[in-house]
Amino acid sequence: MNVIDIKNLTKSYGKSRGIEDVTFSIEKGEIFGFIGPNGAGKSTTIRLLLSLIYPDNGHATIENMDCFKDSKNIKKILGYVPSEVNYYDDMKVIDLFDYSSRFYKKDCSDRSLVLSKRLGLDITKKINALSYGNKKKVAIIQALLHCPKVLIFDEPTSGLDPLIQNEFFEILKEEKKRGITILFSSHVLNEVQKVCDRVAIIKEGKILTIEQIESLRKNQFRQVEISFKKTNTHTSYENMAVKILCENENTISFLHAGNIHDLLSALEKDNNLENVSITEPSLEDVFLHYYVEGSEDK
Amino acid sequence: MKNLFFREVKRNSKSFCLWLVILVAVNAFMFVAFESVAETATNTEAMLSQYPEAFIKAMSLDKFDMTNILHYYASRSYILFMLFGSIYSVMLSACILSKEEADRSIEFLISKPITRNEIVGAKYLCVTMYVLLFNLLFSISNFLFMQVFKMDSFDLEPFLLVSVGGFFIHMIFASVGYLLSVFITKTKTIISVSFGVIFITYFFSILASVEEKMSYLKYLSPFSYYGAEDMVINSALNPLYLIITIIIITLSVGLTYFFYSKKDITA
Repeated sequence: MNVIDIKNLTKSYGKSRGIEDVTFSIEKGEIFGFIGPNGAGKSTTIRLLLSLIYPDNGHATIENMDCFKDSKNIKKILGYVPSEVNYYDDMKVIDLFDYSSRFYKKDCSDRSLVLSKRLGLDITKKINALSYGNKKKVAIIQALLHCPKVLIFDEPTSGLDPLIQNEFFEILKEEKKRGITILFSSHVLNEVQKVCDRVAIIKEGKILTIEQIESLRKNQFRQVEISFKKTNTHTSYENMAVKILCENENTISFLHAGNIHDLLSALEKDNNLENVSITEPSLEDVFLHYYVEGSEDK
Repeated sequence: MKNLFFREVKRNSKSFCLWLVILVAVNAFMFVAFESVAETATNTEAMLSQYPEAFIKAMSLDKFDMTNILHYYASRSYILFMLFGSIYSVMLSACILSKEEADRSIEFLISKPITRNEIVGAKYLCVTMYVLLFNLLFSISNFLFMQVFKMDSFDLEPFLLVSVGGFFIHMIFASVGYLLSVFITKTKTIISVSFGVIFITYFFSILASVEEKMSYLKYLSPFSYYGAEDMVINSALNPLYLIITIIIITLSVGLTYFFYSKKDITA
């Protein structure tokens, strides 16, 4: 059963891009990654789901309720973490949690205590006095408090330190076990790979591809930069590259996917090496790969 | 909706108390001076000769009997109360909705189970309650002050008219400010714009009373609808103005509901 169903959603703001013809659906109990560079349309899509903005075209449902007509009922079962967290300047963390839970007519104080402890948040502090990362924790807990069936996270991990991030991913996995459906937007490929089942890649307002995370893992990308002692001996690497990023006399930089051993054995045989670095590629490069691949298909 | 209403009541309670206390205090100071003004006023001409003619006309000073405490109030504190009460009302109403967007807390609020209409309704209810309470408490204190400082007795009917008039003026500005804040969400801008509306319409009311040719301006200014002169001296409210008031308020609130439910919140 599809919990979130988006069909041909289109929205343009004035001159800026918005999104075009976005279609995807998320099944029950799935963690669905939504990745793309800044300004690609992730937040626009999410804002549409929340009915903060209205579409020019297309429709969206959550649990078979129309996002734009039945928004109030959707929100009873929805938790949302915005990409930029802003709350009321006169409130303490605990006040916000109380205020939030009163909207659901539920007492969530136990759950707020447990979650605050797990994420290491002091609930007696004024929200305004908190750091960026701590504000993010407030947003995450606030979204989980009322035990929603659907969670929408817009770049939830930015500002969280690695330990807290891990704790956060643990919480997500627990929620998933309880059958919660999660839409997880991010611009970090790595963290999406960690928790998501499927992922949609969006660029310039359009969905480029929707993939099982397994297949993404299979062609896990790495960016390889090699510098040589002598010039022009790198033809053998050109064949391995999924995409060559930069090439001149003494260096080559390319995207590599697939078996790492092939690359390593090629490097081992090469006695013209001066230096090698293997890093995580920027998302842009990976997207570019998808982009080019997509146009070749046509 | 109840949750949001009580939250707004709590959030706006401090500024309410502050404004009320200051205006009641200013009013009290005005009444302290009443006795000495009333004594000079027995010689009306001597008093009026102190002021330029246009000023006398603008303030209707020639028509007020300064030995009557109600007339004294109408010519002094009432003007302050009209103006500053309007400023308070407009600051309350123009910020209550737009602040969510200016502070971007709207993303939190919209993600809760509450419709946009309920948001507009709960916040307007809070504004109405505070403006009503503001006028009620001010008028009660005003009545008590008059009992303390009066020299002769005064009529209750014109007193009630003046009290109601202030409330209507404040509600007009509160409603118009509420509507404007749907389109102008930057706090600084919306405050300047609504202050502008108050002062321009006040200026219109003065022009209308000074210059015969421009008397049509009175239809553009709520301050003219509930001018002290009509209510205190003639003890009358023009039903036409009452109708205009009701139309302005209903239209503003209706349009606020309409536009707010359709607007894209992009902040």
